[in-house]
Amino acid sequence: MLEVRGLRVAYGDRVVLDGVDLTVRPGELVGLIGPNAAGKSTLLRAVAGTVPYSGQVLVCGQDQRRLSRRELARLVAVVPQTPTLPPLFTVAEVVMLGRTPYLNWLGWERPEDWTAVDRALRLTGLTDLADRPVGQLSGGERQRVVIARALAQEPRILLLDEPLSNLDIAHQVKIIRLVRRLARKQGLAVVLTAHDLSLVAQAADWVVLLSRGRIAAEGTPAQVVRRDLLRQVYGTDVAVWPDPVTGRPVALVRVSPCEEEPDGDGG
Amino acid sequence: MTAGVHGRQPLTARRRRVIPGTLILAGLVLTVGLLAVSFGPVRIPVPTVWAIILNRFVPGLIEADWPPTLATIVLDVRLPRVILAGLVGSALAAAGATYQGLFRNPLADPYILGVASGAALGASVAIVALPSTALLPVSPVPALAFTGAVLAVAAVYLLGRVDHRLPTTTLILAGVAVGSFLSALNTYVMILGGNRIVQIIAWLLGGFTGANWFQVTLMLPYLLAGLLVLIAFGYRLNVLQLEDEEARQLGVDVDRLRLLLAVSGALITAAAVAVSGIIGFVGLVVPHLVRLVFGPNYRTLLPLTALAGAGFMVLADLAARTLLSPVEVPVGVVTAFVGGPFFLFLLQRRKREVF
Repeated sequence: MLEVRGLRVAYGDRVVLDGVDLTVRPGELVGLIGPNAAGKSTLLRAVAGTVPYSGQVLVCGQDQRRLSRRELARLVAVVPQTPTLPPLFTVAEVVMLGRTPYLNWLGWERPEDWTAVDRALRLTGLTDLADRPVGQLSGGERQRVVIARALAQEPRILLLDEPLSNLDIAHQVKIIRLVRRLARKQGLAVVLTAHDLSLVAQAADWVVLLSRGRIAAEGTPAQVVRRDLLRQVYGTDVAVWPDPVTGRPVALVRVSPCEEEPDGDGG
Repeated sequence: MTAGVHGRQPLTARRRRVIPGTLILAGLVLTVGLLAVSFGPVRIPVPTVWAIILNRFVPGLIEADWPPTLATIVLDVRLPRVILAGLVGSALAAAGATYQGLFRNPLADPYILGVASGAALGASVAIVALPSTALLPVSPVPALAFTGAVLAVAAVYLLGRVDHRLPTTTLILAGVAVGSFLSALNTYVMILGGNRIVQIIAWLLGGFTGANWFQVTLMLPYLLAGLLVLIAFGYRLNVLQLEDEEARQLGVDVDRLRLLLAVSGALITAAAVAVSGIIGFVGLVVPHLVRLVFGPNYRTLLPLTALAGAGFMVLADLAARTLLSPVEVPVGVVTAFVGGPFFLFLLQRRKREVF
């Protein structure tokens, strides 16, 4: 579904991604973790075709560079880290923006566009809010609006950049359940970045750990969310245990005073 | 389960207001137009006015029992003036709405890309350097004003471009810079012009004094073409309310779209300014008025703004030529004097975000 080979992205002289390979199959949820500036967002942007890159990105078997913007937007949808929501637009109007790659040049909405918007609203539980201006919504509702907009694109590949930050734990779980259901039931290939290692370990089928533009490790959550790997990549000590119920790893950051490094700058 | 879960009802609530709203608005504009043709400094009985117009379109329907001068006043003075005011109003309002959407800026108006200062310089040069209009078949002022406006926008575009991209901030800054530069030049030309400064100031104030059919035909093609593009592509302005990167991820070629909309807006503004001078306020406020009533969706906002702008300008011009008759008030004074408080009144009543 999504294949990335030898991806390299540079902003001027600064190389952000260097030789990254990634494969995501339909129905699979891949969690992308790594420190700030590791290149997580850039990887998503390259797949979405908004940064120039060298290497190869195959989207549904086609060379991404050969697809027009419109064609690409029908296959790949992005939930950005800091989305803009014009405050006076209603939820339905914002979600309808997801139909942009399907509308003809006059922008006439056809019944199937409304069906797709309806469906996206239902999947995200927003049907009752459809007529509300997005400026009046809570943080969790706004995040769902952006996901609904991406779903209205009816993509095959869904990329979510930090969809869980700024959400309380209940909303985090809701969003993760939704994303997993979308992967399983609709056969979407999903890539999600997040800083919460335990959440990613709970949610993802496959975890990719990025470090300074390269893949430091990848595998099942248990193979990647490991104390030694995380310590090496983040430079911070992390305690990791298996969750007694799911068996997936749980990562805990300790900030207790006894572990403070002698040459640390904190105090 | 609420009613909205299965049906499409909640999605259309705002749209349901659009069709009756459009009809009411169109009715209002038509009424205003009829009113404007019926009244003027020369008192002509209203039935006679209508008989004259009907007779013009269906000759022989009504027996002409009025003096020919009255027919001339109605057909060649009032009618072109009302129509020109409507065209200019709709051009300025639609361009204003476009630029507000394009720049995501509620303060944007049709003149943001330097159209006004370019046109003003062109007009001043025409008035100062080509004074003997008697030798020319038509006045050179509109042609040079139009040229000045187009050149100014071209300069803004070239200066605002960064690596084949068209970021809104550099575009606005280029507009401000080019505008100031041309205004300075214009002041210089005005000083050179000596006593022709009066003529230049009269032009700058804007208005529809002496409007004729030639001006209508001059403006109509630009307005129709530009308005058609704006209304057809207007729905994409919704996507431009997002960050550029998000819009690209939705399949939109942001820079090409921005260029197309900016050029169309500039063309219709230039055409409007060329025939009527610089009339402020309409292009800024009418889009906001329509937004207050019908919501921010550009798909409906653009056509409705064009309609409302026509009505607003015709009404303002009617006031301009009748309030202190026989003295004419510059129409820009009327638009600001009446429109300003009315707009503030609506803002106060709403007490919520408007953009």
